[in-house]
Amino acid sequence: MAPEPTATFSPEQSTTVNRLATSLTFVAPLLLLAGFVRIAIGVVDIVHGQWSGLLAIPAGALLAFAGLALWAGASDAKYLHDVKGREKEHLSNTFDSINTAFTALLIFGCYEAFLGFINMWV
Amino acid sequence: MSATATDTPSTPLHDYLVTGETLFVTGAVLAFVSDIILTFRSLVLPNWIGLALGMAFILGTLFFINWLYSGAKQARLPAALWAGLQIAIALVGTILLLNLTYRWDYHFYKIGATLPPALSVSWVIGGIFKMVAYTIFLYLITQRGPALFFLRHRGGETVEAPSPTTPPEDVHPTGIVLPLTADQTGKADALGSTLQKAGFALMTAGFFEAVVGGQRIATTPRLGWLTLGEGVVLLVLGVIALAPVAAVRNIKERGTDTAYVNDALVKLGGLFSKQILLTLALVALGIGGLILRLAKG
Repeated sequence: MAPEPTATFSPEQSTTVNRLATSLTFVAPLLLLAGFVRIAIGVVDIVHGQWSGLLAIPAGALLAFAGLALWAGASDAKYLHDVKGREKEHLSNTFDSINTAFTALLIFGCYEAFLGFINMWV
Repeated sequence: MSATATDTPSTPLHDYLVTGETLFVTGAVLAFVSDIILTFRSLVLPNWIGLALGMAFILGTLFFINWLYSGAKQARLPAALWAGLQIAIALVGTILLLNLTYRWDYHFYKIGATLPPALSVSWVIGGIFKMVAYTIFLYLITQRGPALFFLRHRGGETVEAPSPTTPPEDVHPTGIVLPLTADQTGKADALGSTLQKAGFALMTAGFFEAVVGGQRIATTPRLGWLTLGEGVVLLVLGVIALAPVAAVRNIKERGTDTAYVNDALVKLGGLFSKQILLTLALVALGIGGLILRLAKG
């Protein structure tokens, strides 16, 4: 019989990982929702004849994508907490998912900054 | 500089404590002076409610400064909340006064004429000064730096003397190493870099959006305020995204001890727990904007 894998994190550190997983579980659907709301605003603007609404759709898509990536991150963090002996892989995956989400938020920030700068003068 | 009297002069610890005490006292004096100025203004006006509240603010700030100076660990959270409350009061008062001056939104003219003086914020420059002063004070007592180091030292907490290789308030390795590959530590480093870039991008976006919102308040007040609110949320989101950067980078720079990994996870957890509230605010503002557009159509 294979020996039981030992936990790398102490019980206190394990609580930290669990807290991160919980936070991610809450923030991911909220970001997804924020993205959908932005897309809906864009669609309503277009329906009302304001083509500037088109600009809200990529921003909404980026927010929603960040939400999806964090959702994956929440699962990775949960595995990091639950699965003993494979912490390296799950930690790496958690960082990867958060990195993907924040890359989307980086593009969102640059896009919104560009639009905001233009809107200041229009 | 009484707190440093017991340490041998001109050692790195002594110098660091002197810097910490000087910074703490400077921050405290700035906060205190901002309240003195605004309370004096309430006396000159005169506005008796503002005067009474201003006196209460002065006494409250003195109480918290004194409590903090004793080194008591339990003083830091209430003092931070008090500073946060003062920033919020100064912010509300200043915005209402600016609204009166620049005629952004007529809905707030009436309240703008009565509330700021009653909150002991009867002068725009004084209000801005109070906001800045309390923000500096809040930063000094909550962020790792010489002032917090000084307060912890005064409270008898175990703190190590800082040096170029071991910054103050640092994480102590446990000796248990998570054997990450170069590729895996590289991912942590990449995350730190992305968080930093995203933080600055979100702050820039938030600033521009807030300005655009402010510009639109005069013509479309409700949408203007919502845009301004979204800008502020993005700005704060950018600021908090920077908080875990150093801790995440430590994994590559200082080693893969579980203490460093755990510290990075703690900071990331803190970021996401704050992001929950900010994203909720973003959703609420977005839904508000959507309802306004639907009502208009």
